[in-house]
Amino acid sequence: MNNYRYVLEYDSSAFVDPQYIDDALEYAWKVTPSKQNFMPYKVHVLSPEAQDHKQILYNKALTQQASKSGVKIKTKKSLEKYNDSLTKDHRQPFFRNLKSAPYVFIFAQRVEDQPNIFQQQSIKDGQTYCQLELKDPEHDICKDIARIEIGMFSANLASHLLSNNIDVSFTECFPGELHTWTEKEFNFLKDDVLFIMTAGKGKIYRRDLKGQEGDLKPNFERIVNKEV
Amino acid sequence: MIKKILNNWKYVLKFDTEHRTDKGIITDIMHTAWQTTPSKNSFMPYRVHVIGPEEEGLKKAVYETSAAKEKNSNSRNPNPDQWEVNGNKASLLSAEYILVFTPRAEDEPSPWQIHLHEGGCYMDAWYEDKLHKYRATILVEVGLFAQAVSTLCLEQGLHTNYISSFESDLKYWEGLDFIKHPPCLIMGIGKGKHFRRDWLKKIGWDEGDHKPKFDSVVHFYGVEK
Repeated sequence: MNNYRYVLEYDSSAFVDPQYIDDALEYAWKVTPSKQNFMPYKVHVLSPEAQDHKQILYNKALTQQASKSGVKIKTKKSLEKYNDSLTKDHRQPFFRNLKSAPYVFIFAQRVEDQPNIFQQQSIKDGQTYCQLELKDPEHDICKDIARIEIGMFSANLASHLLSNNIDVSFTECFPGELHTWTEKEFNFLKDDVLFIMTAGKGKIYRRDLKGQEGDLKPNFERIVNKEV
Repeated sequence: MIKKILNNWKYVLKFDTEHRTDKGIITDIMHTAWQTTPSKNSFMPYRVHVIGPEEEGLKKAVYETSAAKEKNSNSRNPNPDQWEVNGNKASLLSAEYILVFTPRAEDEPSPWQIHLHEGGCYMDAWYEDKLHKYRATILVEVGLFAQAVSTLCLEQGLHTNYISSFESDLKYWEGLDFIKHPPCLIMGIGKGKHFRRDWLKKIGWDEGDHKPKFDSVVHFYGVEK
């Protein structure tokens, strides 16, 4: 992960061997542990050809950002106007990498409908699992587990890709609720979106921009408490 | 190389209580995890509390939060006293180190975060009473950090466990006065002595408790397979 650098724009002309992507996904699936072996999430992989999807993703993230900043977006035109204003003020969002990323990974919640033999036996013995529940509050409780495990999966996916000189970036600015993903391009989604990750060869990196010197992570002592 | 290391991860039922890890190794692992884990807007909106080998009382207090969760959950069963607290959670009692992850509000924002704020961004991560709105981000990033710790531990021949079933309400954490926010993850670290997969094998369940198939978890769109 020492090679991790946030990508602002990917080199869409650079070839990324799909085999590297397949290997990294299989690796992450194999080595990432999961509470009671449920893996309550699904990773939807968008290929370099799914360009329309990526523009829609960018628009969704932009709308989300506008909404959080108190800007109302009602039409496609008002979104374009908002985007133009950001470009004019040199305030383009970092998630613009969504448009140029050859690969996008959309992490969504997943309800297990085929419990393994051990889980089936435990259910017979009276055990209940939130990972099997379609309804709240259990379904919502399971989101917390899914998010931590998605963090672990994406760390392993990132490590493998970075070791093959493929850059990655993480995106957390998007609407999560399934009912907001109404576009036909995303009709494969069956549950809420929890995380988005991109991969490809980086062209412009955030750390290379001017004025980024003040963006430091908190000191070690503020994150790790070793006084006890 | 990393794959070989991560393939060594196995759930620990009991850690070796005789084993002592050089403290420098743990410090180095934590430092490297801090250094290499990315964070949205560089907030790192969590705090990792490291409980060391000598703190038996604190480790027991952490274990009690996990045991309480199981007791409270099973109290709904008509025969609640028949179920013993499972061995997965009891592993905390033998762990050499325990990590407790809690949310953290930023009270010393970086110049960049101030710049963003002045530009109109609202920062949930700055405010104690808004941290619940930032929970989705906190949990994913805790997962990123925890995985880094796990990889680095395995590299050193140490084992790790994850416990996410415990009572997070602060009334259960009163004995640990440094815990100021409801914890979101507990990790145990040490040299494993007894492993869950060996126990499963012993009782004839080694094939039955597997993770979902690759295709159940990963879905390719627009990729010919």
